[in-house]
Amino acid sequence: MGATTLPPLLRFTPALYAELIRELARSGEGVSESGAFLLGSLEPHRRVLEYLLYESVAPEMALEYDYVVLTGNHMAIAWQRCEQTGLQVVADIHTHPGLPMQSRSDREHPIVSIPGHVALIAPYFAQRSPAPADLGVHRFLGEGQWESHFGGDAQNLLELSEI
Amino acid sequence: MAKRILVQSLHLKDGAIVRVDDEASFEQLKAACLAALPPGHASAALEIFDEADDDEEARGDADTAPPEPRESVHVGHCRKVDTVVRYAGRSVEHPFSPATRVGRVKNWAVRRLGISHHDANELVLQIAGTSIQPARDKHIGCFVGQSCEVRFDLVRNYTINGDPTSDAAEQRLRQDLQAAPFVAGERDGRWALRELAWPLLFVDVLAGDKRRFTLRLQCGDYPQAPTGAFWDPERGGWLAATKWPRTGARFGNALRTDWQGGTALYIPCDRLSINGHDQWRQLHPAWLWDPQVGIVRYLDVVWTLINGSDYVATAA
Repeated sequence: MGATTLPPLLRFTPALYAELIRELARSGEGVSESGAFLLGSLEPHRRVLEYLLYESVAPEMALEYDYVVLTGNHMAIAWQRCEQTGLQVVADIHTHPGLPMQSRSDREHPIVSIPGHVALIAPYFAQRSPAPADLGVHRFLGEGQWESHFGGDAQNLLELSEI
Repeated sequence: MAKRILVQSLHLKDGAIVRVDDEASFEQLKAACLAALPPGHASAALEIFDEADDDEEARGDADTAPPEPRESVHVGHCRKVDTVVRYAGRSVEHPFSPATRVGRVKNWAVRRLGISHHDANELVLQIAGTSIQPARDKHIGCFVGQSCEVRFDLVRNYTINGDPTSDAAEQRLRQDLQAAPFVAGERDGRWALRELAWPLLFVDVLAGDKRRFTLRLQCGDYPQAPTGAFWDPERGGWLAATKWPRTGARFGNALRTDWQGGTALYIPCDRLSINGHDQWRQLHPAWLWDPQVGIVRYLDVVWTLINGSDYVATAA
């Protein structure tokens, strides 16, 4: 499929995207992975309206590990936030020290196991102000399967636009 | 002939078994069930709900074949339990019989949320606002308040996201899990790999009576020593102390359940437990962690503990 034919999978406002990337970079300090639940709405499009940093729901894990570890209690905090805001977890994002390909853990542990969920990976601990084209865009297909996009495809799939 | 009935209730932490005659009337059955409650909890407001009379909508979601009438009952004050399951901003609701098992509610919720059976394997129900993850065979009526409702979060016990391509520790552990010493142990039936959810390793170790005890080991610093203890894969939590294997005098306190709250084995090759026990280096050199030996050292020690002559099987 050509890079120009893919309809957007996920939408952000430019300001929210920029703030999210800055916060991920700050949270990981260039030495550990960081991430966030991306909350928003599915209709009429899958759009991110706010984010919930993993460090805010799991501060003790951020101190203990260089990668993302969430327990049931941490996920429940995010579900509670969803209920308070009326939003859903429409995607998630975490950083990698290197390239934005999924690790085995990433593939085996979707943050949300509903087909269509989008998992983003920002390379180099998000320290180099990654644009959408720099991210890995991974769409969960169900039954443990994923579809991954990079470069021009990723740029098309992540639309930065005002609401 | 007397029939054994499993009774569950909000007022019975572990349930109870009552015996009633096959020909007993419903009133006699009810009286026997109420008598099983702790003193002060029996009241006329309580009713008996037979698990066999369950909800038709969710019948296909059962983990097991339905029990026979009068095999498993619930004693409670709620005729229906308004059940809500939250997941990532979605929620599904249904009024279930209080005698509905948690496992069935999970399967129903997963189906309603559009999650495949495969993808739901590691998801568990957790009572909202708590860390309680009820066992699959518990009745949901055991978790209601006066309001006759229960709210669950559908969660994953552990979610690990990260880049193992940069992690030499995981690469090394994966190599060791495919190397001859580990494979030989699997082939001999001493242990079996359950899952590597880096950095957590789950391995079943077989005891002398062929019972399987699952170890959950934190291997983040591998090939430095891991730490961990027995895990309950059904419940998704550390194994209850009452279910740990026991040893007699020969291995002393190695399987003490009060050490580190039951999250680390009291053995020399455990990363946490060796701290402050320098005397073990002289007393038990063969049980010390050795990075050259790797993960089979820990497994060998545990297998030895639960296959010795003083291994004591505990109640299932």
